[in-house]
Amino acid sequence: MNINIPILRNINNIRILNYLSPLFKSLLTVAIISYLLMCLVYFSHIGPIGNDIFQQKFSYQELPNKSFITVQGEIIIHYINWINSALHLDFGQAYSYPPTSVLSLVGSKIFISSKLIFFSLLIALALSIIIIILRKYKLINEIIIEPLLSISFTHILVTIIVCKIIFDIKIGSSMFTASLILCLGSGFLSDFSYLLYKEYENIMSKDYAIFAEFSGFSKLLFTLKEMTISLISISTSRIPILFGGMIILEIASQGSLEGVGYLIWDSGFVNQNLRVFYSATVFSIFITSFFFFLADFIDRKILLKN
Amino acid sequence: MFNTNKVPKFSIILISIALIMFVFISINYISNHLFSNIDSDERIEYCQRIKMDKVKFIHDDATCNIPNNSNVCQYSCPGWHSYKKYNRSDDEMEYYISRTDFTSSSKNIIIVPAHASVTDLQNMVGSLPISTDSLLDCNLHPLPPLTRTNDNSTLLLGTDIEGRDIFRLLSSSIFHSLQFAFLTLIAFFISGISSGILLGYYSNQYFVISSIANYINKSLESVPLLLWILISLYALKLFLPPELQHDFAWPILFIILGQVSSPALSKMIRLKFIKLADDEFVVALKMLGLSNSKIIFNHIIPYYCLPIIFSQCAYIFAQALFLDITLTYLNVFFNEQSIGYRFLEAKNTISDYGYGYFIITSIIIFFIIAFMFSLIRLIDSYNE
Repeated sequence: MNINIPILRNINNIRILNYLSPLFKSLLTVAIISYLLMCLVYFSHIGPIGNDIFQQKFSYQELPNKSFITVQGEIIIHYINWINSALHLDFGQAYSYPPTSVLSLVGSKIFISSKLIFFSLLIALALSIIIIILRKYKLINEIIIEPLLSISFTHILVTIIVCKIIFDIKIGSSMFTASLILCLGSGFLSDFSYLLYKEYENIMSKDYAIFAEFSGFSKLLFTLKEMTISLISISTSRIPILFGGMIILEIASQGSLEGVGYLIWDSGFVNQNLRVFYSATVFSIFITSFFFFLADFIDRKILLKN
Repeated sequence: MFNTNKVPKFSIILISIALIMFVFISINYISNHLFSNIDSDERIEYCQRIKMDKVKFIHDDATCNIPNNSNVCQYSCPGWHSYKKYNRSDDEMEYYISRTDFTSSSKNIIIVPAHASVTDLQNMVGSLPISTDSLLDCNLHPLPPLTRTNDNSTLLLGTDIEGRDIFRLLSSSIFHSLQFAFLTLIAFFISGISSGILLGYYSNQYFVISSIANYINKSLESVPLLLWILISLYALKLFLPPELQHDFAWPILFIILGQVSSPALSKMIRLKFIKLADDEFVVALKMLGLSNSKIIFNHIIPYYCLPIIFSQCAYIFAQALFLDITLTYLNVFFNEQSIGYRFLEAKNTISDYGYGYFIITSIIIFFIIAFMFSLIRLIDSYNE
């Protein structure tokens, strides 16, 4: 690329485009994956497809064989129609009775799931801070912390079953219980606290931090900015991992905790509703990919600068 | 070498216990499949003399001779018989013990064939008086751990309600699931290393291709694993013919797991290659005329990347096991011989038969996963 072309130089100088790069990247990812999903929706039809690709029609007539290019052309048309509606925030009706729009349904479920993930991260962070403080005492680390962290090695289903059957705790009874289970399951707490601890050790052993300590300043205050940025970067990068456990938790709660994971499962595999399945999946991919690219951006731009 | 001061002692304990368990499981699996060819689903025959004071009776309304007024039915009514079925020592048939003239100190009792028709049971057709010594109780399952069987072998973990040796069943399931974990590992390995080499070593040479590959890796990593699996499940249900789903769905899903998890390995290998690209020894090797493939596969990967590869492989094994349990729980495609199926079978029998089987299965799964995560810590200490 010839950097001396004036218009490209101007574009490179526009910082705002740099800061919006996570959004652009996640939109591109969503565009590609949603197109592939649209192909799946197209091929899930057993009858002729009308104007609305999400409506199943049945026919006893044998459908004519179509060439690959014709099929792709039809899919592209449906996809462009969907994007056009999406830009107007019109994702269609989820259910005819009671009349519920897809946007309000998916939005409300995403809100529940976001609360679950947010509280899980908060709990994991609180526990990790306690662990980091107590880790310097070797005996406590060996006897209490490591065995407790190993509880999170079990699959989240084991944690759910143990809570349900042995402690008689209902999964959906409170957001705190569900968040605690999510944080403890499938290795998340162990992995999260280990990453935070490594990052803490790494920052504390940097020259400027040691210099600050020898100069009589508070090491923690000096390194607060870098630690905060690392914390945000690590937390946002763990969101896709938490999302997987969240889906299992919501399905295992059998409807008492109906977040977006349960919605995807229910509309895709149980009570098939193609429109809801497609929109919920696309929304989820957008949110998780955005946070991932944001964490990547923070890592590359802000941490490298420091 | 390994800096064990940096590794928590608890992790070393977990690794040791897991290794010991794995040795036992492997010995059991090899002896069953290679030397004796015993089916893991085979029912263990275990019979004991009946304990007269432990015999419990029920009233079967269908065979009662005064069905309209069964509340006043005397113990001599054909409807009264034992809850369990019993066997005779020289007979394969099963029998009920009739309540007629039964006391806990009786030396002789009346038995009726358990699989007779309702009319025959009502009329006590085929009933015979026998001595209590010739009757055996063969419905003692589930047996507790460390039970000695009739042929003097010990059931380490006992049996389940269907009479299957739990240890044999679990060892067979673990190895069955490990086969799928290996499939994941191969896909993970090939995909991760090849894209790591492309993005790390050849990124300047093939800038456009490596930028696209980098973006694809990041996109794969940005979407949650389980969401990829759900999308793949949907696609498999759509495109795979029903008759092939049972045999091919699982291998395909595990290969997909390996593929979508490979960006993590690719990223680490890429960083290593970027760090080493301008190192003196690499420049020296190039000047000596060594080909790129020799530099990569004979020098960089064996000496600088192996710890990363091993630690990521351990992580992917754990993920494969998690996927096994998750897929079985979701019940879209399941595999009756997998460890996930055993786990859910154990969970479903808790209310009827207690926590024994469930606790044993959970402990074994815990130690497998704990071994993998602890191994990652050990390998990281080597890296440091």
